[in-house]
Amino acid sequence: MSLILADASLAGFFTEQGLSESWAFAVAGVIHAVLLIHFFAVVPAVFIWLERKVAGRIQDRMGPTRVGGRFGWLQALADGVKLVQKEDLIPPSADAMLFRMAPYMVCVASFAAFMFLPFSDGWVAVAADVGLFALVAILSLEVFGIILAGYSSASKWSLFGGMREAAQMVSYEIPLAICAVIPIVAVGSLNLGEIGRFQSCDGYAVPFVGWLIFHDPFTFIAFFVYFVVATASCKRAPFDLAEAESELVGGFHTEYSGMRWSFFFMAEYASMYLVSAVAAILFLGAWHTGLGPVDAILQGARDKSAAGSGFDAFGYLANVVGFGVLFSKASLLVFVQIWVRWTLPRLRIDQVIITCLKYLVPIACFLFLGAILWPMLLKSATGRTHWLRPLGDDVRAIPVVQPLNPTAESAGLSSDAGRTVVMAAGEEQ
Amino acid sequence: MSGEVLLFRLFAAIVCGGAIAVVFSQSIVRMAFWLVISLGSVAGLFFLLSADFVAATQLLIYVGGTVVLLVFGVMLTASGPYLKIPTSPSQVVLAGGVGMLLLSLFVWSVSSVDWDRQSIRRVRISAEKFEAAVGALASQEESLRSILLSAAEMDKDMFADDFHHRIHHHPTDATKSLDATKLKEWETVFHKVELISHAYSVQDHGESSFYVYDANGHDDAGDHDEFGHGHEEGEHGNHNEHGEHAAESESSQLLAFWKSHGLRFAPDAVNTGTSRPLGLSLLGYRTDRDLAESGLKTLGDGFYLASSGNSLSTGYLLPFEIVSIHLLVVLIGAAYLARAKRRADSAQ
Repeated sequence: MSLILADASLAGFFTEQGLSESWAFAVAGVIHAVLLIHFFAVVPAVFIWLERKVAGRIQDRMGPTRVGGRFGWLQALADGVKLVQKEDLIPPSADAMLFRMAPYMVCVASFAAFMFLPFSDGWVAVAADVGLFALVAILSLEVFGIILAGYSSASKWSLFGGMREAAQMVSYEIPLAICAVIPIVAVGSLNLGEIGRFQSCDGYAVPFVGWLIFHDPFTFIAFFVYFVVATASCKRAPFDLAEAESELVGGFHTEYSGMRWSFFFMAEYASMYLVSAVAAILFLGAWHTGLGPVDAILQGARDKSAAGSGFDAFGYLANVVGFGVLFSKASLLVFVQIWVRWTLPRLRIDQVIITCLKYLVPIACFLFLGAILWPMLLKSATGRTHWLRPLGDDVRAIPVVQPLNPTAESAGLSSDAGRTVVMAAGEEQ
Repeated sequence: MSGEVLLFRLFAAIVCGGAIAVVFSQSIVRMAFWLVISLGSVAGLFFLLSADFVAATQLLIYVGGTVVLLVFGVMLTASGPYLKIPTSPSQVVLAGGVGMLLLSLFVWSVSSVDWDRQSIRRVRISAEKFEAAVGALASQEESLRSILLSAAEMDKDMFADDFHHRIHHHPTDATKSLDATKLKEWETVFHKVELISHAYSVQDHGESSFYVYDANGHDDAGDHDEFGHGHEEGEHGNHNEHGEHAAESESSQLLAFWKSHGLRFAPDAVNTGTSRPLGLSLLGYRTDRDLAESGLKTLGDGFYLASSGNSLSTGYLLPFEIVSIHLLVVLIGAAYLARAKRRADSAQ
């Protein structure tokens, strides 16, 4: 239950306040869900505004300037109010039930993936050991809503959009999964929290080298491949074949209007943030700043907070800083996605599929193989297992943790919540 | 009803409702939609049981992969806007027969498992403290409750193993110092303990834990031979003759007594995380049986674990059954698709 609903600490707080345990968990779960839903709703609003501004600037226009002041801050809110007012149209020949359900399906899939996404060290709704795997799995459901929308609209444009989306997603999921596994090879854990902790630059003289993107040449290339594939999986230009305005009117959402239409876009922008945040966690040092001394101070405060029982203001602040860092990195990647959309022309559907199957999949496979062989090659060539550190000198590894429950451990399962660090591998030597 | 049970019922209802809707839908894409709902809820059940990996695999392969391919196939092959499948009576009979066979397989595999053993709640008991408490108080029949209470509260370092076995075959200093009558008294007490709690132990990472059943719905005490108490089957037989009803009422009384004294049964909050026994068992790890090897296993330091030598094949095949029936549904759907297309071609 603790895993399903929420991080144990908030529930523990309510238990201390005198609530019964099950109620405390329920309340903690609701609070986490509400926080996530707000994040899920506010982030798209910000990015839609950003998209309009960036598009305007790239096209030598101003973008929104009226609503909410000089920079049009409230443009997304105005859009939202407009969309709520619109009539909810369903084409008479459409399969009404599926037509209604499709936007929810997309939204729920995109939202559910946020449950596994850490926002800072330990700030995660569900700290699962297979977090990355579960996240990728849930994200792959989004395509089903798009296909349903395309199919149930009873429109040729929608059907074509849906088919393109299906073909594209089924192809792009392969390199996406392979690229996500490449940093896993270096870390040795699917737990997004552990992947993040691994990338602290504490102890490196050069900034940023602790990040997995600089771990070896293969992860370096894998980051870019991942980013391309992730852009495609969000059906962003130049891979937005599913909604190609110039050919398919609106693609899969041609027949949608009002709030149902906006659900698709809320999910799309939320997914953009999601894949960017995953990219930041997998490759760009997660919540770590990349500056050794700063990382050391922040991580020290977090560890102290995690080890202690009560509320630790410094640890909390360090986590807030971590959230800011991670959010900035992810937002930067979203900005790049927007930038690419307004700069590059759209690919044809055959080009999209060829790009994936003929180039991205083989490249991803090669990188995966290389990432596996890299430590061996490096060791035989230079006697090191990491290019910046001599062999045996403070080998970085994730801390060995002891699960709270031995039953789970003997089955090879354990949860991230409530574990205590027994020893770090570096200290063992 | 706890929140977990509520969630379980919710997910289970959605699974069943979705499955029924798949059967009764006429449109293939609606079938696929309901299949997604049903399979997604199965994944939800796996998450609830803390079998995260199985849940994610379920989503990735069945929902994200197979069903999407199915719908993709429909979209490519459909002749009209919405493909309908008319079923003939013979098909209904055939499908019903296959369905009943599968259902009976499920019923058999579910009923062949002692699910009550999966709902154990754990009480850890310090071996030394327990021995001391029992040694001091065993002669007083009346004080059994306080023994159990005090022992269970001393949730400390080492955990009790199979006491019975330990006294008989692997005496420690504490047990050696006791004479035969004392031992006999101990045995009486331990019989009570076992009768009441269905206590048994499982190897946990080199430590042994003393498990206690939840208050409600456990079965009689006669199954102890499953846990390697074969050398005293006769005595357990006697227990059965004493009557199960008496045992049950006694146990529920005692459990109520424990609970009223603040004894907490494996906290819902902490220890249930990934290690809900049912969730583990879905992954083939059975907390009610030691699957590794038969006979006695040395845990070190005088601790021995008795096991009855069940092979791994007695673990749950249920998830695989569920998965296979999903696969079957998808295959049938694909076959229908091909058929529907031929029909459309011949009509033209």
